[in-house]
Amino acid sequence: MRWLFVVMPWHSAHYPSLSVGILKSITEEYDENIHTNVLYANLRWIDFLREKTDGRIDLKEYHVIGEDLIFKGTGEWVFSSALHQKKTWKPEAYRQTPGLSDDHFQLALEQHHLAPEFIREMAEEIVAGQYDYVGFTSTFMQNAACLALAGQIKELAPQIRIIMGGGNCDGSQGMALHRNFHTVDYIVSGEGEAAFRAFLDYCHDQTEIESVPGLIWRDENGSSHRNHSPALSQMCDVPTPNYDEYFEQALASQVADRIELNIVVESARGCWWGQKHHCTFCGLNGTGMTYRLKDSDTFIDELETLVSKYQTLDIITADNIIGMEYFKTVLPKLVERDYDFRIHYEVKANLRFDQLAMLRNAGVSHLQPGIESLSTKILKQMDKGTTGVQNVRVLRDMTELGVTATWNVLAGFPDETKEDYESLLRQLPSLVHIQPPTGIGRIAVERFSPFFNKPELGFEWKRPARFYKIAFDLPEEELVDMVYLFESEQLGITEDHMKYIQSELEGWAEDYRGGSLLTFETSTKGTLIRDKRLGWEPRAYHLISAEEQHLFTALRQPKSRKAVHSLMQKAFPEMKDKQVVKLIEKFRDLGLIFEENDCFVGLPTAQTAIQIRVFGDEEQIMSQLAAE
Amino acid sequence: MNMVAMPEQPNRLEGDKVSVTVDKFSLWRDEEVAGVCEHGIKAVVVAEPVILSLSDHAAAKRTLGFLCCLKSATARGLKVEWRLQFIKDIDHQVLFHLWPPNANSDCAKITNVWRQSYRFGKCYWRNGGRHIEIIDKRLPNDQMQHIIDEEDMVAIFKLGNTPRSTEVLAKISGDALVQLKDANLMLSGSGLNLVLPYRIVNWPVPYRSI
Repeated sequence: MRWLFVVMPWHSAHYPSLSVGILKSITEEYDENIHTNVLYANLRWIDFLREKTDGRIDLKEYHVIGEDLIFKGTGEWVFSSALHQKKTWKPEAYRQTPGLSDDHFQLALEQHHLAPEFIREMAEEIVAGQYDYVGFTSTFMQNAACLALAGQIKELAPQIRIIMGGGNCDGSQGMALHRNFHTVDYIVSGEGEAAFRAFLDYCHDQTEIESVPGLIWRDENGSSHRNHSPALSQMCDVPTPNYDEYFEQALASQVADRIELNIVVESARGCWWGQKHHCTFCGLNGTGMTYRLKDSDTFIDELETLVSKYQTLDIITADNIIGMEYFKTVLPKLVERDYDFRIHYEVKANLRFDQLAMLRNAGVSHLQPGIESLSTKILKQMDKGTTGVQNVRVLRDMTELGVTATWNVLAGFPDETKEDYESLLRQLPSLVHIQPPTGIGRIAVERFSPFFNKPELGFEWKRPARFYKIAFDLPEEELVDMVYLFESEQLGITEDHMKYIQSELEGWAEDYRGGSLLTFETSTKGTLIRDKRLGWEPRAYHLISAEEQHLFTALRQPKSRKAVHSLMQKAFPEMKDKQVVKLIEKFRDLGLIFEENDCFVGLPTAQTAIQIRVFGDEEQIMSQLAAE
Repeated sequence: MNMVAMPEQPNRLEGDKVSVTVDKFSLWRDEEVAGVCEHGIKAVVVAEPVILSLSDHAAAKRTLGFLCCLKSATARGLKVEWRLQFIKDIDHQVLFHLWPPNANSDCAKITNVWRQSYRFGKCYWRNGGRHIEIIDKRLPNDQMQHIIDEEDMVAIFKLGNTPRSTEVLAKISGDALVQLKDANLMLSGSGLNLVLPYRIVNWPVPYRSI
């Protein structure tokens, strides 16, 4: 029996597919005589584009469509030409996509014209490989590419069985895909481990098709049937992924020298915060919110096995949120083992300084802390469980520790107003030494999110995002079941105001990259503040009075106004309310604190030599050197 | 946090700087550089001009000791203010990943190119347990990645992070030592050797910028 798993665009070139890596391991464990291959067609697409465009479309342009334009659905439209087997498919309609720039449209259009030829080539190659089964994994913008290739394979070799899984098949989406695309024989809806093992049993005549959990299949009359849902996988049932083909194919790619090879590991599934408070905009966990954490020893063994096998120290964890137990189990062990990892993790934004330091010492150099906003009111609407000042505190601590933070501002919430951003905009000049957001974006209504499931939260009506209708040409009632992103009424701030905020945030990023610093060091002489923020007069000064010192130290942690008054008067019984107010005002005028929702947090970072920031254009510096 | 002790007798200058003699600096080990950093020191001023030479054993010992400490300081983001008096028997380009000499150094041409070329993360190594990864961007437009996984070479590389005699290293594997020299990863002269890349200690922000 011959199996092929295919990873289609727009999966990142920089890391392997976790799901395909797991399926490959399951197949090998099941029967070593099953011949299993993996085709990273996403990498082949990059090479194909380079060849056809003389290098104009390259790795960078690939990721513009694959990552930057997800919410514009550009990836789906690019492959719609191949899906419908036409030279081009509704370009004028797609061009009208709100917010799509001309440059991005032209970039997409060129690829759109090349997609049918690429899909034909891939299909011919796969058919020549004489596979019995071809499996696809589809998440976010991969449906059109997967379905286009599935269609071509079926046309050339109808005997090949096509099976599809992934996030795009979760819930009602799987059944809708199966109903509308007869080129796909089977769909696995939900987590795949148990389903796939049972499907292999079915392929070996060990069980009936009705017994494969989560499988959607077609009877002799062409009607789709959906089996009972699989139980959620326990992490002990998930094998160590096999990434052999990714590393082989990435290293053979024309862009091998620019691919940043990473290993993907998974220490948990689901979200422990989401189980208690589902963030209102988030649909990421689909039907698998229940948090399941991998045993710590198993995780470390798996990590070491993969690092040793692939000799790669850059690690991406696929988790939505780190398990808090790992601060006692996994992270101290990683610190001891003394690897020089560069690990990416997603975390909740309420981690303490010592927890962030432990992450850094264990090799976690990049965190996505789910900041989303610096407004407590908006954070409440998200059910995030944090406040504006808490978020600033975590960003300040990450800046101090030299851990890269990736975050952006989400807008467009039901009760959001222009005023909710006033505090942030007014205080932006004080924040320019702290890691800035990548920008601001309007939320989409995502399937499985509370905003999707509960219209009473504000999004009273919704319809599939416009690009799906263009790319798939299906009736709306089918798309309602099939797609992940929905559009609804535009709530919250206006587009114009969002553009204004975006330009202000770009100013923050520019000042940060320009080398802004606001540091403090404490000695017997008191606390010395050094202010080198762009936009501020460069200066160094001591906080002289005991009251100043006390307030400064207290505000290393966020405090309410009431708490500040109380702690100051406890320490200095003679101090009057007016004097406390005056002191707070002084700190505010010096840009030493961030104030939001009547709470405060200090902004200076401790002065250490270990904060290293990289500025400047390396290529430009290199060419100057070469010219000399 | 466990504070590491400050090395003895660095002369504290204004603010966040200390001054130290070249001989003392050359004897600092990585732990002592870490101690300086943890005490909030941002820069070390080396009091006398520095001669980089491998012409005889004594010169090589001083030079490799200095470069070893310069590696630790560079890795930890600790600025070193030092003046280059002259450089002999060393291809200066292999040092361009380390903190450059001050602008007022005697070797103006080399200093100028070094200062312009220097960026954090130009040549460093990472511990992967059974393997070592080295990123080398010292030559313009020629980024190299080396993976060392042969046991003998890993052993030599790790030992060579501080100055070691050729006798000690060649006993493990003479071939491996030659290969490291040929790849400009080991600086050798007058019977002494030093691995040139520094071990990464802290990733910069943004973390993928090196």
